[in-house]
Amino acid sequence: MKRTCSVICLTAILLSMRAGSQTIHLAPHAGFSRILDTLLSPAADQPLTLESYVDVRGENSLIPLDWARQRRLPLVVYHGTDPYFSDYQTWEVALERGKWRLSWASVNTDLYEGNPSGAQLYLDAQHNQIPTTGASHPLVTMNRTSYQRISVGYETPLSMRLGVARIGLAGNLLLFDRVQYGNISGDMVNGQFTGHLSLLTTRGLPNSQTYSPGASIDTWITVPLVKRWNLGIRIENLLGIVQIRKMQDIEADVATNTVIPDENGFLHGAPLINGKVTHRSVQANLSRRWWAGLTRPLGAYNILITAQNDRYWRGGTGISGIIKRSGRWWTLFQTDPFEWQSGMNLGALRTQLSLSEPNLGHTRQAELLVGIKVNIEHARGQITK
Amino acid sequence: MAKDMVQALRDLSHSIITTGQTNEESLTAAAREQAAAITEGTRIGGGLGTRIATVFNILSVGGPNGNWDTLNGKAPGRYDFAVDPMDSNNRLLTFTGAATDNKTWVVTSKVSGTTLNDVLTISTTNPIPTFKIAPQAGTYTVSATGPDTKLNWSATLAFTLNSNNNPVKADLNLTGNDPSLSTPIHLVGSISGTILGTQTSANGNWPAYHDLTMSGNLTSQFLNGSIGSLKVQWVSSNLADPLNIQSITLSNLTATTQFSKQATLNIPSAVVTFDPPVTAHHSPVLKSISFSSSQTASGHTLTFTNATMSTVYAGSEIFVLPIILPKTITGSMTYTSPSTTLTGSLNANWVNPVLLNNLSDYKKTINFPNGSIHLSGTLTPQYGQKSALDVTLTSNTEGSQPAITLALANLAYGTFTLNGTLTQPLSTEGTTISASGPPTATIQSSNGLQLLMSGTVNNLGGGITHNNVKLADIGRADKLGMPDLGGVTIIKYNDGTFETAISILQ
Repeated sequence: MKRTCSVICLTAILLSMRAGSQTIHLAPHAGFSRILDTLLSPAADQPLTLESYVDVRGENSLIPLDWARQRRLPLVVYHGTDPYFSDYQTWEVALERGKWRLSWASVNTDLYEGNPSGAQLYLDAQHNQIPTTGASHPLVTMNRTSYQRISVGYETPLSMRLGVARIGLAGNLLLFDRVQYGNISGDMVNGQFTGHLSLLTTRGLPNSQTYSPGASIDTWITVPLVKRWNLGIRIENLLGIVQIRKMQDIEADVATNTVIPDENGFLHGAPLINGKVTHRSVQANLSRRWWAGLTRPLGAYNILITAQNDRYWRGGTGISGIIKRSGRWWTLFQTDPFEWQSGMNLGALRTQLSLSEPNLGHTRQAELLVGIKVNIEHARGQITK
Repeated sequence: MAKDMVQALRDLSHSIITTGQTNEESLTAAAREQAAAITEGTRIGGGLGTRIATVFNILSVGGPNGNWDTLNGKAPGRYDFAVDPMDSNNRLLTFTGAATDNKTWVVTSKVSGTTLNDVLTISTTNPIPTFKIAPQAGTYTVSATGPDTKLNWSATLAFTLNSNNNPVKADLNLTGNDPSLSTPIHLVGSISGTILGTQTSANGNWPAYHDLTMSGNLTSQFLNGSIGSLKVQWVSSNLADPLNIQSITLSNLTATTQFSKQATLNIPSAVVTFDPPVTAHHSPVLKSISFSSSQTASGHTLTFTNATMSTVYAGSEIFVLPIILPKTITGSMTYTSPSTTLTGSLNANWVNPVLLNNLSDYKKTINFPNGSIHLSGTLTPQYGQKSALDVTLTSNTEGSQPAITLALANLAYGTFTLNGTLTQPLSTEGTTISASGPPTATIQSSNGLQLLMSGTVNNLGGGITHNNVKLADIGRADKLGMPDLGGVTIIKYNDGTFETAISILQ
């Protein structure tokens, strides 16, 4: 009991350490097929395998992704409450053997969030028609990164009364070559904007000054429950921190078509943007990502119930099946916003496709993962024979 | 210190005002306001235009409309005015009875719609056999009335004849009450002339005038105005010479629109002089215009005092219309907007004036403008500081260093003055002229600052120095270590502060 309390208290302290500082947005460290493997495959030492995949995702709450190619958008009125745009591109290469996994990945991420007024201002600007009347208070935040991730993971089985659990831990070394973090907010009155821009950025500085290390810990566990249910929990960046060696700290006032008074009361033309650039190092947290799932065999299939948190919680239900003994397919329906995801692992091939609508011209969320996973030990053995 | 210099340039670029609008934007808004007021003010219903046009057509003033029948050549009597049953676009005048005397014409409209049952009555003081506008008829009295008692137009046109029965003066007095008008139209005017002699043509004898002078007043719901004197004077001293215009002299012209947003025009004096025509087939050539004027609309007033424009003859089209081009313009001017007052003198010289449509092909050396515009005066913003202004724009396409140069001289702003030039070098190759390299701007302040800029608006480079010590860089943000701001031009100071330069580059 005492040991349990200590674990709970330690976890609470670790989680509270993140409060009150910048948080850098990262892409997921694992595709859904690997998470599913952990949940559904029996715990066993891996032969030496090589895995490589490319995962590309884009999503937003404003317009169909396809419209981003248009030079001028039609008039769109935003009715939502939490506008955002997010994308990432990941290329990962990994080696697995026994209980260990070593991987390297190159990742780019973009995340823009704001309030409804900020979203409407963006849509109006893309429509080339800013209203000249009315008042609003737009706010937009930006969170962009480019980094490499080197991970070492270890997973081990754990015998329990109801079966074999699996527990894993991975340490990630992150090397950031670009971080942009900032926001712009202000008042839009009768077509004139007056506001403030705050931006921390490594852009414009030499790479030798900005290449910055970060570290994080991922953990996951799968536990057999009663009546053949399996519970899996995965937390990425349970602890995560980056020390950005040097950033430009830009604080600027933004004013369109306006005037400002001086100390003598004279009015003067205001520049569009004016501010100050200073330099400083920044310590920032890394965005945490939760995933939890329940599975249960149902005949030849497994039913899936999932929940994940990446800025907000989403739930999902789906089903998975076996292809030719060693392969797997799955399909999953996630809610709020709705997204259909389907994928399969067949032989060495790994594929995954997610869409919010079957019509590619209308979808606001899309993800494509394509990869291979090759048993090098088996191949080497065959060559030796 | 460097920021003060940039702020001065920005303020002067904007001609700073209270609402954040530039003068250009303010002028555009004023033009829109006037256009809207005119559109609203002239939205007159009730067929006013049709009634006036019908009277003018019946009197054959300004020529008949298509095949419309007119009173011209018709004996005194009563007539019906009706639609031609053979062609609904035509109108017929049908004699319905004799007049009570031999100098009255009564026309009753049978056209349904806006003129139904309107009655037009014309009478002259002296009997004439058929209707025509002739001085010998004496005074014409015209009235138009209708079933609607609000319709009541009356006018008199009286001729004064000399001992030879030639008209030396015509007086017009018109009052118009119409259901469509909230205020009656009242027009009083006269035209008088000095007769040189009598010319004989196939149509009879006609007086030839040495000069004609017009004056008058107009009040209406649209426009109130008056002309003190508009005198047209011909060159000829004898009838054998062609009657060529020598000058037009205007004095005391005032006009004020009566729409929801008023606009006024005052011309205290204007003199237009002409040179004799090149050949007998040509018209006289406009030589110079001297004028003083003031026009005000929606808070903007532009006043010229003792302005003179000289012109040069540039040939003619179809041997009739002379083409004249402005050569020099000099004068004093004052421009007042809700934010700014600019007072000064203007001196412009166009060395090689060419037709406007030739300017579209400006890359030809023969067309490329060669000349200068010099504006000297004082710029007084409503808020902010008064500035002395001395600007010369010179386009020199000849010589060893052809260039377009904008020179600022002793531009006073607050505690310091600015001097500088903006130069665009030119190069000539054969008959084509083009820009040679990027433009360069050099500005020095009286407190030792120097600003250098070179390049295009989207790719500027330069800096601000003081005694050869660099205080600021000017250039694209992405080239000055701030790629997050994109390619926008910024001024980045040594203390880490920065600002976008677009407001001083516009």
